[in-house]
Amino acid sequence: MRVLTGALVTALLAVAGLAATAAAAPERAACALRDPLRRPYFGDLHVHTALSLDASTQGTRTMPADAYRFARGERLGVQPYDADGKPTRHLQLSRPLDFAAVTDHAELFGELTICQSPDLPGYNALPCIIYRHFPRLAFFIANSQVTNSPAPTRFSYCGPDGAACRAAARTPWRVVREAAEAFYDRSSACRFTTFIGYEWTGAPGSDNLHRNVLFASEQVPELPLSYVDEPRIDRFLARLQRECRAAGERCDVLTIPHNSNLSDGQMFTTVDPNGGPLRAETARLRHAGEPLVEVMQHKGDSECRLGPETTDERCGFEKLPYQNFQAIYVPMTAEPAPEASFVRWALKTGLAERQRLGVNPFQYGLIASTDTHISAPGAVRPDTFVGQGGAGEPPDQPSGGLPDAIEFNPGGLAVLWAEENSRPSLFAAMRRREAYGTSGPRLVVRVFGGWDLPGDLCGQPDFAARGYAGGVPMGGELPPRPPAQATGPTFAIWALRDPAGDPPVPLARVQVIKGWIADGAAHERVFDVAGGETGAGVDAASCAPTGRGFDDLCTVWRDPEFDPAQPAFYYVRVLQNPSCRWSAYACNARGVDCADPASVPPALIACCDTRYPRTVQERAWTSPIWYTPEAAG
Amino acid sequence: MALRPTRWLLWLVFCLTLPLPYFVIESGRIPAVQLLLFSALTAPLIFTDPGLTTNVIGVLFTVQTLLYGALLYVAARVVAARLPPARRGAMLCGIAVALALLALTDVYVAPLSRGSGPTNWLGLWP
Repeated sequence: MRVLTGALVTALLAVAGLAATAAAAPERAACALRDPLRRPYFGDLHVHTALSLDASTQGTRTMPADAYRFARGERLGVQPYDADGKPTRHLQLSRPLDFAAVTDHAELFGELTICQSPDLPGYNALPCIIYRHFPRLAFFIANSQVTNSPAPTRFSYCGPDGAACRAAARTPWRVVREAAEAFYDRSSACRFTTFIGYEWTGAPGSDNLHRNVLFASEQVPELPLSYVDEPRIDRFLARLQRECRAAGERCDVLTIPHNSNLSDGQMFTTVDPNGGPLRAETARLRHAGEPLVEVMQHKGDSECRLGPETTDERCGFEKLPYQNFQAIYVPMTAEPAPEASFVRWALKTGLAERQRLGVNPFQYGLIASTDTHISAPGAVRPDTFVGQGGAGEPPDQPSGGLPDAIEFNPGGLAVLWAEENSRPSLFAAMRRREAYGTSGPRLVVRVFGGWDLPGDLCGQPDFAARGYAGGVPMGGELPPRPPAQATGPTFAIWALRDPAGDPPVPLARVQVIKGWIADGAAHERVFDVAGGETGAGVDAASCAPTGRGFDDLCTVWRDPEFDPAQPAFYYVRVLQNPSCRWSAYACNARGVDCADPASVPPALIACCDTRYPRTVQERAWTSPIWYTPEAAG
Repeated sequence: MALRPTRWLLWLVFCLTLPLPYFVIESGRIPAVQLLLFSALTAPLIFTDPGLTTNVIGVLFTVQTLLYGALLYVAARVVAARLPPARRGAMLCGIAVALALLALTDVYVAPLSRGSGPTNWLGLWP
């Protein structure tokens, strides 16, 4: 812990000189590369460092500045550390990210600072002693007291009204802000963009309601508004907007829910915090404040589940075998997550809620990110995965076991279609939902929807120009249906394989997932619109892909079942050919032979757990395009 | 050596060394002395910083500490009674050395202080 304290002090000193400039940030230079037809920028909007209690208690010592350096392509040392405090493992991205946001848990900023600062009152409080000597125990106690409690409270050492912890929270919040300012490339090169952010970490009853909070500029509230400060989601969203407005005219903020798969159906509840059905006011707050949802990350996929509501077999991707955090530690309470824990359910329910309320509370664009807890944004390669340490799981290899829990995965990336790599441009892309997520590979996916997009768009150099001219991009709403329109909307979809994939894997197929409301009930259907069965596979021993696939896929597809009276959404899923899951790489590297169970050491028994496949189909999910019947608009 | 001090010394050796299975969120095998330490650290939180899980943790540690304390006392009493009076001291030393040697092997599992892998007695104390 001393080392951690030292790192905090060093980081503070390193950015101290920036404090003055942060208050009066100069206008940035115009980007040399600016494309009015927009380009895809790859990043990670969910990153934890040693400032998060659950990262710190599992040995993470790296700070926000280290995370941004790593995202830009520099080498990062991670735990475990040797006796001299030197990291024993190192990571480096083969391709830097375009943008990143450090989103540390805000709830225990002050408590953690006090426990690390001998000069602050409270340093010798019992919870701090536990934190310094038995961090794993502190992880459970702090989470139960604060983030997992329906009525979160501060520790008694925070003093009356928690004033001491609120005061101490200013230090890490300053570190977060100043690191983001220091690493934001304001030159005309526009190589790297950062966002000031944090995580609001509410999980009442251990049902996950977590949200990442991202600010558009350097103008942010004096302190992050945490779950302890405002545990009710509607009040949180309203107060966040108020505090942002008070921070300055350039302050803008949005929140991104994540891990609905661990919410036990609570993330997208249609029960209002006041009780009864969701109110229009709450729906408006969510609609305005939450344009995106994180569909996939280190702790699993939240797109959809295999169940009675779907025959979509690709919903089985990266599913966790439990429904909330409690079930991780009390396995007897584990059960499959309900349908309402998944984004597809929310998108369908949002259509129905819009019919009822006039506003869609769940009009989400889709992104993915890592949720790394070792300050390693964008570390998504399956073959070199060292663990992300989510949910308090230590990412070290104490007994020669796997580097992470078998049910977890490296996480994904967020992709934003923007004119340039700058905060205003990327933030605007998030606002209009022109965004998509990938499970790791840097697939490029472009989608336009319109009433009469030309059928010959594929392969045309002006694909994007005509797409924008004749329709709306992913995340948009179809314009009103022309009176003479007799057919359904068309969608121009173009997908490009990761040109430098790790490993290189061709595309397999493109699918359109349609959801709609008919006769008061929600429906869904998956259309295969390009590509198909490629017969490709994976060599189990070497993990080398076999068979053929596609370098790119493009189609202009028209909905053959369109009913103008039915509200609908359409999002695109692009699937790669099969490739090895991270656990297959790790188990192969450790020489595990599941055909000979006696030879498998206990620490690696998870390698032979048949619930987790050896291969996966990595993928991308685009934001939907919505259609609303005019009468319901 | 008299029976009573033999009994108490034996109990102390047992408490210091024997790996005892416990459950508090994550299960493991640690000596009673570490359970006692965890009880001392967490039980006061029931009064200063009460919360459902905190209370459960404090109570579970305390209950298991008391339970093992009593069980080990009974065990020490039984063993001490069976030691030949003339060789009690020597045999007590022998048991203590044997258990100390055992404690230096990876017989403990201490997720709350060491991580998920096995560890020896020295590894129990970060």
